[in-house]
Amino acid sequence: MDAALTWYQNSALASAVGNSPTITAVLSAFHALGFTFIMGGALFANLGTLRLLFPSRPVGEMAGPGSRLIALGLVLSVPTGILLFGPRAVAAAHNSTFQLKLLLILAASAVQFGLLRRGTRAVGALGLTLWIGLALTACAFILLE
Amino acid sequence: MTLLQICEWLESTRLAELVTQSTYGFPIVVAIHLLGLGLSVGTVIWFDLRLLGKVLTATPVSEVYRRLAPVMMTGFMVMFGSGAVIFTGFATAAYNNPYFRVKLAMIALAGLNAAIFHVYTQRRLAGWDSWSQPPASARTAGAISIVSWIVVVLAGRMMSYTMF
Repeated sequence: MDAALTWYQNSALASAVGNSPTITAVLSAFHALGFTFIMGGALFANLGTLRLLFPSRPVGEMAGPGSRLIALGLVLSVPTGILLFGPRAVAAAHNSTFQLKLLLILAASAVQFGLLRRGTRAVGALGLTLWIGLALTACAFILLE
Repeated sequence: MTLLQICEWLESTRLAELVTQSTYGFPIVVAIHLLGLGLSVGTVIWFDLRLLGKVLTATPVSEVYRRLAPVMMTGFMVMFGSGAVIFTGFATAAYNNPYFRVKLAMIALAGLNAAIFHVYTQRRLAGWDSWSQPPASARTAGAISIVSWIVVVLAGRMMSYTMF
């Protein structure tokens, strides 16, 4: 694993990102936009599933569009995140906050795209908790990196 | 007193010192700012999409606004409050940064757009409140809002990498 991370960190791609403040800034900007879409989608879909936003409307009216906005957010933030990860791949991979962040992305995505269609309040609560946990962990990574 | 002098004065305050000198001060406020961003812009998008006739088309526009407003307003208060604190610490650098000016211009555009919507378009809301496709003026307001907030997010992040 460390060999693969070292290879990626030393690759031309990671060096190009690490040596260019402009590329890093553009990637970070789209990473933040993806984060905003994910947060917006997660709040809408999961608060909707918890019947806290529009209790008289079918859950699907919120869960469906919310999940699509999350998917758009992931399309923006995952590739940009992988590129931003490059210049510090070895150190970040060994950072426990970063590991938790990755775990929460996988768990929250699995709940959102696998279980949320069931439409139960318990799944909504779990999904919301995981996405908020991800947002807090992402912020903690800024603090503790 | 010029704007630049106000910026210099802001940087000499105790609050600015707290932001720039303490080990965790700056990253904590940035983290709060990002959470506020997700809460505010992440929620206002849904109202804009309703104005565009893309979501919750069977729910009146006024009800969508009423239910989203508490989350939206809380997010905006957190975002603007934390943004003001960050600005205090790096006011002169921000003043000279082109992305900060783009960000401020887009916030002003979003604010003006919201004001025009509330004063003029919403005045006739009763006539189209339940329409699945609101009138062109409302759809335009929704589109301007989404675009301006997206540019605010992008410019805000660009500025933090080009200021120091």
